[in-house]
Amino acid sequence: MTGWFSDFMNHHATYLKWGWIQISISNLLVILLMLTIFTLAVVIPFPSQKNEKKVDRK
Amino acid sequence: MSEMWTAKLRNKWQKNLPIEKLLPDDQPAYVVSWIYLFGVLTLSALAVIIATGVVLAFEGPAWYHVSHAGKFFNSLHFWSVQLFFVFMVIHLWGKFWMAAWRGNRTATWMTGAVAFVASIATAFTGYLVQTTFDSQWISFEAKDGFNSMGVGAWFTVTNLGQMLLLHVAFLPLILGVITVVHVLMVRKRGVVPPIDEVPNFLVEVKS
Repeated sequence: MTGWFSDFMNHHATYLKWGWIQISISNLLVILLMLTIFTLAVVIPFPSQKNEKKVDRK
Repeated sequence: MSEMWTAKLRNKWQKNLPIEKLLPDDQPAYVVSWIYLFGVLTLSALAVIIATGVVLAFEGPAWYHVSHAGKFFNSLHFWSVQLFFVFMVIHLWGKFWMAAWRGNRTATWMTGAVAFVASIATAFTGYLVQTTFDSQWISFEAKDGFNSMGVGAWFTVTNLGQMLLLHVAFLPLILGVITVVHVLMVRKRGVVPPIDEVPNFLVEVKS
């Protein structure tokens, strides 16, 4: 592996600490990414088809 | 009606889960939302995990540590697990905020929760059977934790044979069975409606 990714990967994780809470930046980024995907999945309207059948709940 | 147990089972199955519910070709209107996709995305990731896991099991560590194709399948297995957990946790968040246990769906919620725990156990044993320095380090760190709980002699994280069998046989079997039961329950009860959805019978009463 060469380049910036190699430099990025070839050192120990950087941790953020607030008292007894500590989390690596990598894990924090993954959690923030998941929260972003969750929010977008709730907010963004799903593209609907013109001939979509409306089905009543039984 | 026949008294044979096969007939009783068939009748019970047809009553509770007819083929129209098992393989529906339409869904309620409220399902048209991105948040309803994460359950099936989790299943899709699980399918990739199982398929790549079978390949890794047949070819073995001498292949997936050395050859390009082996490293590729090893990475596919690893990254599909990461996606599996991302999709599953977003699915969990979505269902939690929908209060998806409503409408007699408690067992559906509980099987989902148990599947989550079984997935964590399967993933952790996966980290222990990588046959790398990483897995060696993880197992030697983990053994102290398990010994402190008093289960080290029974669940020995440094025992590669035990961890490998748990990872490729026992835990996937448990996870697979729970997942199938979970999906069948979803098909039986239907997808949980939004909290503000007014049932049809209430609309009829009001009008």
